[in-house]
Amino acid sequence: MNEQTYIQKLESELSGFPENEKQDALEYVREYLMEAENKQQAMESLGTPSEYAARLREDLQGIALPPRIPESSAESAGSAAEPEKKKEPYRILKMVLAVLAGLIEVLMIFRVARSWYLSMMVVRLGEFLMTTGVLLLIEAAFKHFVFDKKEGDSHES
Amino acid sequence: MQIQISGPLLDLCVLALVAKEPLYGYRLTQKMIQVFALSESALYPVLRRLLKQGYLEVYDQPFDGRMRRYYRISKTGLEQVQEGTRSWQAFSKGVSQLLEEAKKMLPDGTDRGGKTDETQKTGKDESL
Repeated sequence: MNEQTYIQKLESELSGFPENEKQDALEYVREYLMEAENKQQAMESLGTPSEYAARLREDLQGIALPPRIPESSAESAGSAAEPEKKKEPYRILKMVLAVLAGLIEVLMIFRVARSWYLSMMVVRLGEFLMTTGVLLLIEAAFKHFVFDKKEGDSHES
Repeated sequence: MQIQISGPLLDLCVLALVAKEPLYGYRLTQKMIQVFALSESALYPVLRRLLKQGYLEVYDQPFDGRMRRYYRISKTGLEQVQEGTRSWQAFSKGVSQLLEEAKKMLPDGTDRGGKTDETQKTGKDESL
């Protein structure tokens, strides 16, 4: 095999390579063989075109692979996303409770306001605030007994 | 037993060789295989990697009606050699210490082995 054939064979072996990588490698080998005093010996020590291509492919894969994400950071990202999922149902429950309470109070105020007007509206308003307070208390208790308990459990396991 | 060179140490040695003077692929390979047991096909991937990392730079120089591609060291490459030298010194000190301790257990006559090693090394350095 002469240099020309070696280069041609190598070129076809590198067919899957990115064009710039292929040309760089071919140019290197072309120059290398041109410099060698004993071309035959140089080609032998480089290995067959397919051996040389295999070597380059191995090296190229090493660089082309995306950087590995350290396991620790991937784990912390997972645990950061989980509490948000846990919180979500309670937030929706809170919102539903608040809207429901507001709706009931508004209905009560309007019904009463027709007969006693301002005075009873103030009374109802007080009641509204009280109910909200009770709701907040219930919510706090709910959070404390259900939510915290669950979190504690997950910590243990 | 022949000690193979690969990985970061091979990269470091190529950098150190090129730090002395810019070299083209064939010359660089010949100089490397004078010193180490190395396949001739092992150098291109190393050069390519060192180029990608910015430790080496290339330039073309006309020679005999064609172009020769020379590899020279960059500023970050020199810094890398400096850092690598420190790592190598620590590594080599560790190996030397272990071998020194083992020496006591070896049969007589091995003490001279160390001296011939020294002369071999300097001989190789001059040939570069």
